[in-house]
Amino acid sequence: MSPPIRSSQVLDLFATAYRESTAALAEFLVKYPELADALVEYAHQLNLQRECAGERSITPEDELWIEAQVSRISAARSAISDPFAAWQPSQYVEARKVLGVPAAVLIAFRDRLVNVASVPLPFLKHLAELLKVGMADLVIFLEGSPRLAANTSYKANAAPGAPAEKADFESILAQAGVPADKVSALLEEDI
Amino acid sequence: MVAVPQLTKTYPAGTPYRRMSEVEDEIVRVTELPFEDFLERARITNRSHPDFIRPETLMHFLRRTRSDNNEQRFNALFRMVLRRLILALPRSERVVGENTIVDGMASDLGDIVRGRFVELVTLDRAGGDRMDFYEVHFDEAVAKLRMRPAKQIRARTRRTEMLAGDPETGELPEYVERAAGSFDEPDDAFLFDPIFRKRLLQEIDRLKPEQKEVIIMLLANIQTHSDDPTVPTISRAIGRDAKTVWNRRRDAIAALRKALRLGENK
Repeated sequence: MSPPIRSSQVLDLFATAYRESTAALAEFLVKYPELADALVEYAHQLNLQRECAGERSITPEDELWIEAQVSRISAARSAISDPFAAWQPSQYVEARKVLGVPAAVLIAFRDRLVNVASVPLPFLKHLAELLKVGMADLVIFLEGSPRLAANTSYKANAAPGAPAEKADFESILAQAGVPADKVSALLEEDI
Repeated sequence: MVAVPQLTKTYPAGTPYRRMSEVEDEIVRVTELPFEDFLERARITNRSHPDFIRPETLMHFLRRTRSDNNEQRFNALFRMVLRRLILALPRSERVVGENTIVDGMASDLGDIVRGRFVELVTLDRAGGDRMDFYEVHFDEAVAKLRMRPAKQIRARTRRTEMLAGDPETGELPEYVERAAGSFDEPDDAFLFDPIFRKRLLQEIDRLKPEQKEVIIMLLANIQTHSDDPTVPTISRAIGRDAKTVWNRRRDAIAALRKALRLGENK
């Protein structure tokens, strides 16, 4: 079985070819007919981009917006908080249903066992909404080292330790027993 | 000579993403600059200025801050990159006579794209190859970011004036036929006239999706149909017969001529 086409990469390749010649659209439509809608829409956006390039200037409102973004990310980095700290069991149950993942996946996020760079943006955004925090707050929290949950008890002679390495989202999903077709859906990035 | 690290993302055939040679050369040239001098140059947004730094290069240095953990440096570069993002977005307002008209759809789209870009940068800072294409072709990457929200906004704000034909006879309203310029072969020369280009592209966004795709393919010089099975055609791309394509083309051209106020004196 051939691997699924990674549409985002095909579109990047298309954009590079379209810079050279608009004939690339016909060529890509033949090669990737299943991506026809996306290719045609992208061609339109590229035409607009080309036509409108350089017509804007930075306004005072733009400068204010830029400063607001810089401040927001700086604030998130300087005061890292645990968005899961106040989460109640009922909220885990709700999040499991909404996100369509087993509890083990949410626990992996809570304990920062997930390599955040491997998580698709739509999933992170959804989780951040459920946690009622900004995307930046969640990402910055997840960048921290893996940890042991404070309320977990262990029966062992040696002191328990957090795993040294994080795992990719795909592997966390597989370990949690998420079926392959569902894994594919959860791994989708919106282009 | 400074070696510029390669991008790690790969195209479907397995070949890695590659920056333009101009970008790689520029990265090498500006790497040795004191940071303040670099920032001074990064503020230049006029592409024809000799000290202009490409947005792809700025993206490269922004992404490099992953490893230096220097907040001030990230913030300074982030400001510069956000300026380039804004400059890469189409304007949402246009001046008509003494009035400035704000296109609500373009304005909403711009806001969403800005928000998505900030989210991507936040996540990219944690690692991964998600934003590799921004170092390859920045403007094209921004254009890609507009695709999905543009589709969603268009669906919400689709023009209410429908150019549907008479449900019983299938005939178009008379004013549409007049705007189309001809009953037999719609006059589509204006599609390729640079005078109309910018307005045309904006108006294409307001067409029905099935008309829009036909016009975009026409603009890329794709034939409507062909008996030669090896020739790419609109008909094959959308899986419809030649007559359907022709009808959509006719209706789209009529709508565009009307929007551009062409043929009003006919």
